[in-house]
Amino acid sequence: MLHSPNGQGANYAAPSTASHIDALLEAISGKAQQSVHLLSQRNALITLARDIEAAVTTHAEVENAWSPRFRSKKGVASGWEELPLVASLLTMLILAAIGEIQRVSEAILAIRTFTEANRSPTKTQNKTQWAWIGHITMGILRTLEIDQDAATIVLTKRYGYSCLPVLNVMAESAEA
Amino acid sequence: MRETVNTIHPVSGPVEAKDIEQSMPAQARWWRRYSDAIRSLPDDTRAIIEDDARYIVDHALKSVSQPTVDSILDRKGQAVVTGMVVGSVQSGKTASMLAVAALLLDREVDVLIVLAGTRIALWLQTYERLLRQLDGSDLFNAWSKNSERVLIPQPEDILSSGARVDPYRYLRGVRRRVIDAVENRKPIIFVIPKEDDHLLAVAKFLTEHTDRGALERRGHPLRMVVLDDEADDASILDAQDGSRITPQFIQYLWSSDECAPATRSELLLATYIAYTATPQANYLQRSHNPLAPRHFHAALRVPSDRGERTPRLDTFFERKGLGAFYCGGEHYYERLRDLPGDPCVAFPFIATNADASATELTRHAQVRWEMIGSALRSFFVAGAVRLLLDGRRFSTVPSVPTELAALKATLPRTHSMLYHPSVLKEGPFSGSGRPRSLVQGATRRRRGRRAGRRRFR
Repeated sequence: MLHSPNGQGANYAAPSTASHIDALLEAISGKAQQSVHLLSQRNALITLARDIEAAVTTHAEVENAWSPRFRSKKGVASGWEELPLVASLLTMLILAAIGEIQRVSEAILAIRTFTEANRSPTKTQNKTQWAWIGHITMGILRTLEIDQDAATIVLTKRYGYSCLPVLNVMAESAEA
Repeated sequence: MRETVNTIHPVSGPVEAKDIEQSMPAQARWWRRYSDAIRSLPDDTRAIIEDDARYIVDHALKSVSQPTVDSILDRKGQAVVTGMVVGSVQSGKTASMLAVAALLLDREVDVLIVLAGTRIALWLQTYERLLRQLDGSDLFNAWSKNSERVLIPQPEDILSSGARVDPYRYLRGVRRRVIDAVENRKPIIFVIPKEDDHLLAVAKFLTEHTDRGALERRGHPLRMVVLDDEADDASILDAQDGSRITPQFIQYLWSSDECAPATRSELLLATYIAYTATPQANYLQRSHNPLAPRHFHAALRVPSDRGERTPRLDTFFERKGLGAFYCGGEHYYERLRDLPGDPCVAFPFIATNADASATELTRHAQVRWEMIGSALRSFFVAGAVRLLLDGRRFSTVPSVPTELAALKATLPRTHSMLYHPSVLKEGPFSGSGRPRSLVQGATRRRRGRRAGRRRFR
């Protein structure tokens, strides 16, 4: 959510989790000639911590929005697989950051219907995983009728970067 | 023929009418839903299920005494109400248990725990029935009732997966909702198997989430009721080796080693209701089993040709007639005794031991053969009569794979026989070969007579 993978236009890389985290930390620790990264600033980190707290808390409160068939391939209610957890938490974090997280509790049935119909992929390659995360995130934002342009402006202002264009491209490859 | 009807007398004192009136709920949401779920039952039967369930609930929710105080530890707890509901085999114990559950929930019981037998298959069967009839939901829409109650395990945790169900996992998934339910007085329903690991996990979970702090925060006593299906199984202490202590684990649901036999807190009220067809062992363990019935006792009534709604007898008049009557020991041993076609046939039997003479042994074998032979003859003749009455024949059943509906329309009804050769534990195993050998003997003799036929059915 906070760092773009390499690439542009319709061609973004799909790095592994480890290398993407490395890239984010390198960007924050920065090179001398670069400007100070927003996430190295105390206020931005406090804002991020608050957004994460709101996202995680609400994610648990609206548990009915996450169909058990979405949470895991076995369809159990008390267990999550990593990929759907990442996708749903990322969505909640975006909603917390743009100040629209309260919309989720008003649309639980619609989100549950969406997650019921969108189970995690059987393939586990990075590209497939990125595409599916993009598909879930953008699908839920569309379900909630979030204005993506306005959301991008808010995210960029808050964290210096918006993941929505990248996720949109990724989602298109999953939905193609 | 004897014409006796036994009146059921509760051992505990009768509940005052005013007590019942005061405790009637303004809303009867759970009962209405369950009553609708059993609407296919005959009217009289439904009315009696309700009457019996109200009788049980009224006694189950009576306070038995003031809080008990442990003077040494200055620890308080409530005395636990224990009761027994006896129901004949296949007479509707689960139907009664769910009716009691519905009325308890309408009476704002906070924690309802259904111990659904010791076998996984029975657990799933009871769970699905409770989900359908009491909760009014199924695997796919049960979540929509999450705002009304907490159901543990969640349906997907036991109905979706073929893997072994881990109690710690299904409890972890509802932790947040249970904390909220305890604080905000939302009912919590557990349906768990009577297995030690599940009982211990749930007991630990409840100890943690209904501790003194949680109970004080909610500002109202918490009432727990445990309904124990098949209470003659695992809920009695085993005298032979003493290693099976499941009753202690059940007691941990509301108590602890320090507080037993009282509850963990004066803010925790608990009732334990045992359901069984064979309550003898439960009563005999009164001196040392914490689950032995001490405060109330009820017998479920069965449909018959006699008995009114009040006073309570052990049968009730079912207007739907003979086909809806309960057929059990009363009919076999009492009502039809000495009538033509008396189903209970006895033989003078010669017991044998190591000193028996050859004559005694021969006579013993003859009587045994005659008994089994007579029973099998009756069974086969009855089977033939049913085939005749139904107008069906095994020879018309298609020999090639057929659609289920078509097969059911052709196939004769199941005709089965229970062979129970001895009350001794080993008896059924040592005697199990007898009827088969007898049938095989008959088959061989028949084959000999009809040598031209290749198969005999």
